[in-house]
Amino acid sequence: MAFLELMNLTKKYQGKILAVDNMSLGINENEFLVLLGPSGCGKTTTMRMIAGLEEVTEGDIVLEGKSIKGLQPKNRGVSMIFQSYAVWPHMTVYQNIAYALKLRKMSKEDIKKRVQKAAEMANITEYLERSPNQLSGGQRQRVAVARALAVEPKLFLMDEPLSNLDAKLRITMRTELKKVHEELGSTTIFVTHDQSEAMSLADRIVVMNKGTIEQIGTPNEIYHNCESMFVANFIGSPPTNFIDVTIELEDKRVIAKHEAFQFNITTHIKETLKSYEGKKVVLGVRPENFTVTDEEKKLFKSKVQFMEPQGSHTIAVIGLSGQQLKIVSTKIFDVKVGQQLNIGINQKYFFFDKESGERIR
Amino acid sequence: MSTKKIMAKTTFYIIIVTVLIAVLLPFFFFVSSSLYSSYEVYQFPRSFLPKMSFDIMVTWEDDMYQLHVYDDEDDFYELMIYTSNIDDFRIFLKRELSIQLTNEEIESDFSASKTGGPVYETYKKDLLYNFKTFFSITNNADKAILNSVIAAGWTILISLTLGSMAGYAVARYGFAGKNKLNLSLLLVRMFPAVAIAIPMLVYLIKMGLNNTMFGLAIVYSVGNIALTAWITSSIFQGINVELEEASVVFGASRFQTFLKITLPLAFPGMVACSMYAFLGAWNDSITALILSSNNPTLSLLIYKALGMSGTIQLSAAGAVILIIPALVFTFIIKNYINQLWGDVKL
Amino acid sequence: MKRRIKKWTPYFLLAPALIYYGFFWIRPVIRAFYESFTNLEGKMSLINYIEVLNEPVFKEAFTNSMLFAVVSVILQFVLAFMLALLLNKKFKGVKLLLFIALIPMAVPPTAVAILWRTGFSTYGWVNNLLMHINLIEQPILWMTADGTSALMFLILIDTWTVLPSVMIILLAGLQNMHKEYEEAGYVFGASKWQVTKDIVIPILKPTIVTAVILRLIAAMQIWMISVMMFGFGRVPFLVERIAYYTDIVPMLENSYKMSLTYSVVVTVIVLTSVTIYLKFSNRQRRI
Ligand SMILES: Nc1ncnc2c1ncn2[C@@H]1O[C@H](COP(=O)(O)OP(=O)(O)OP(=O)(O)O)[C@@H](O)[C@H]1O
Ligand SMILES: [Mg+2]
Repeated sequence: MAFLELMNLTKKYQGKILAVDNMSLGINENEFLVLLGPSGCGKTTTMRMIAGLEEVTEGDIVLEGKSIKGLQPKNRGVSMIFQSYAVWPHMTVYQNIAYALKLRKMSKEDIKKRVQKAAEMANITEYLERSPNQLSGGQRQRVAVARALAVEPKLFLMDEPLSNLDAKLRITMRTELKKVHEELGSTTIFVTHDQSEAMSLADRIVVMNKGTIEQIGTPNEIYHNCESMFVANFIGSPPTNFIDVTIELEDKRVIAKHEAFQFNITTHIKETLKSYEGKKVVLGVRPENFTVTDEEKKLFKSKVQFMEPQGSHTIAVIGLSGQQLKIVSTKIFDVKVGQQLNIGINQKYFFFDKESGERIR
Repeated sequence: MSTKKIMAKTTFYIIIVTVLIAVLLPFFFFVSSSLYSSYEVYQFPRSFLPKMSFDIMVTWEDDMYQLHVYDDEDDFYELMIYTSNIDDFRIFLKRELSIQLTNEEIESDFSASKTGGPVYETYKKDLLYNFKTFFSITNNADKAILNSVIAAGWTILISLTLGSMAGYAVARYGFAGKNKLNLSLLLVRMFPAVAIAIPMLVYLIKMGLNNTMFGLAIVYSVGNIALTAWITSSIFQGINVELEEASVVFGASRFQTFLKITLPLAFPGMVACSMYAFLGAWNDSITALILSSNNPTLSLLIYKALGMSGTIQLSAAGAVILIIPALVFTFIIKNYINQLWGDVKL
Repeated sequence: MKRRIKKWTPYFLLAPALIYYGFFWIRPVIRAFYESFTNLEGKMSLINYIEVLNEPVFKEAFTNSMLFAVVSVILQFVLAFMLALLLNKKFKGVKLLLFIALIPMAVPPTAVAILWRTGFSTYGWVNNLLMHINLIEQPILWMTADGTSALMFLILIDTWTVLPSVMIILLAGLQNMHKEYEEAGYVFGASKWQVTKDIVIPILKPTIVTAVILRLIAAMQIWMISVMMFGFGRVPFLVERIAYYTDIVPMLENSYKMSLTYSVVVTVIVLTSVTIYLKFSNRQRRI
């Protein structure tokens, strides 16, 4: 059994708004798990149920083999970093960090030691006597981290702790959080809807959608091996291109046919696709898996509609039978709008069932 | 469920029920008091709900009608009055039982008892009798109601205009002495209103404003401008400055912006805020006594008429009229608590 | 040019209110102060103060006013805070409950007094109710109460009507407070009581100070309910004396002076109490 186990967790607000729907998930000890999903998909709700701030409608939460569903937040051994930090404005930084320790009836010296240690880790030793309203957003965020560290919890919960920081600070703090995690090896659940944050921090990512889990996996799995159209679309920027194609069998070949192009499927999924003969499926191609090639190797020809230079690479928007496709290339930089390109495709494509949106394997 | 949880739930409901009882019970009994007739008031203990009608029995003895009223507590007809004078019956029925009948009606109803034994009748009570009496003994009550409304109207106008201007300045601008302003506005409320009213009388007489509602409103506004300034500054602080800035960017003047953007956003809160000014004027009686005793407001009229005397049921009737705006007030204000008091700080 | 206009804008906005206060507040207040220090011939004198202090009821009025203010403010704050905590929760019907709980605050003092007088008179509805549920055999003569019991009586009635006005200020404070402050408290090991004591109340302090001061000022000025419940003189208060001299004996030679002097006395007392309270609450904050 995993360190923390969510078993068929369900949350209904006011008996009707389904925020989390029958969610099951195991989290290993020392793991850094990221919950990722669009706004309103139930990430915060899941967190709050684990912390004990929200009642569980159905299902169970098991920490180290014991159900913590009925426990008060204070008895769960979790600590949390809030989106707004919730650093208490009427206490100094020191008092903020020490408060939880005082409640645990620790001795004055022990408290001092622990506060000092946590403050060092979060790099705020020089602010200990300040009041929070004399601190910047980033410093307050560090106080929240130190406060969470000081109680030495079994489980860290972080709900978008970096979303209120500016872009640069965000990346700095991201690195620091990662460092703290590596030092302490604490089990962490981290919520975000920023995928690059998720990718760089997570051991595993849980992609959520409308209260359910779409996919669980390492960042690489999530990116290169999406299980559904939702994940393919949500992860990656620009998102995966989706093209409707019809599967046809010719002799022993399996062909994906579109009005502008067709190609021979050679990978192992061709066996599975045989059963889709004559049916429409969705071809998913990540922008970087389109290639700009020469006349012979091209799959189709297309006019450039927009160019979005990004420095290291270029995003080109091209047209295909009234649809727009985004391609990413590190080669083309001097292409003009309106120019014709020869587009090819490498073998890293996915097929999805048109109805269920699930990956065809 | 744990016992702790059950205890918490129970306390929760006990508090709710206590609140409901503490507020609604007095109101219920109070309103029903205003509907009693004198006879019912002194019947003790009496039923919780006022009677709608009385059962009476009339007998003829010694050449006199004898009027008995049915007492449902003890289930018998109690002799109330015997006389041969029909006028006395009419007055008794009206004063004691709130039953309005003419002499002719009484004569024709009662006369059967002379020959055919006891006559039983059920007379409908005039439920609004106390209210009618209230208006008839205080012969200028309708004028007083109008006065109260006018005084309140002026108070709202003055305090909302001056107060919200000051409130806007506090919310949006920095200026010397700003952090002392709230405290100095508080100072205004520390001086008893009566104490301002007394010396103000001299000034109002000079201006010819004594015994006028405008004069009264001037004094009522003193305390209310401060409160309005406080509350409106809280309201304006709740309105994002960026909304105003956006409007300025698009070419509107500061004043246009205020009229077109800020005011509409603040309006509901300001309506709620004006209710405080309204109540300040509506509820007062002592300032009116000093400054406008010849032209009383409703509250003053009731204080004068029923202040220290007055029967239970009549006082209740007067006060019920006085309370009606209170219900309107709470109904409006309950939705604006946050906007009104959210950012009020000393 | 534009900058200069902008700099003056706040003063333009404040000016009408300040001018108004100059005319209709400072002028009468100064006049009241001045006249309280002159005798009937218009000469400077302390005679009014001597007369006020020598009035037999002054001491009682003073004690009553202070006692009333202290007890009622504490009682009302505690109850209002509990009620605000309750109404800050989310449950079905909370809006309706709020509406009902607010009603008494808008009822005019005249009506409040009448309401409770019809209740506590010998044949009033309180006795009626108590007899119906067989708690008493004979009507209780409530209105003959005097001294401390009458004072307590007035405190309860006052609490009934002003509780909501204290409560809404606290409730607004609670609702404007960031929920995560409390939740952080729970997560870091505090019980409900500890969260309230260590987090909610300290953060709410400015709101609490505001509510208490507004209440304190009003409580020091109580008189109407007392007069309408018990008549003049039974439970004397400082402002009640002002009303007495203006309403009951306005024709005495010195009534005018007496009421002015009393109002100056009340103002000074209110001012002192508020200052003491502010000092006290500031010191508390630092601990
Ligand atoms: N207290 C509440 N009452 C009713 N519905 C709620 C409540 N809190 C959240 N919801 C609803 O539950 C769903 C999930 O909300 P949740 O806050 O968990 O989303 P989230 O994934 O954290 O989104 P975000 O990324 O925007 O923070 C949403 O549809 C939301 O509207
Ligand atoms: Mg969220």
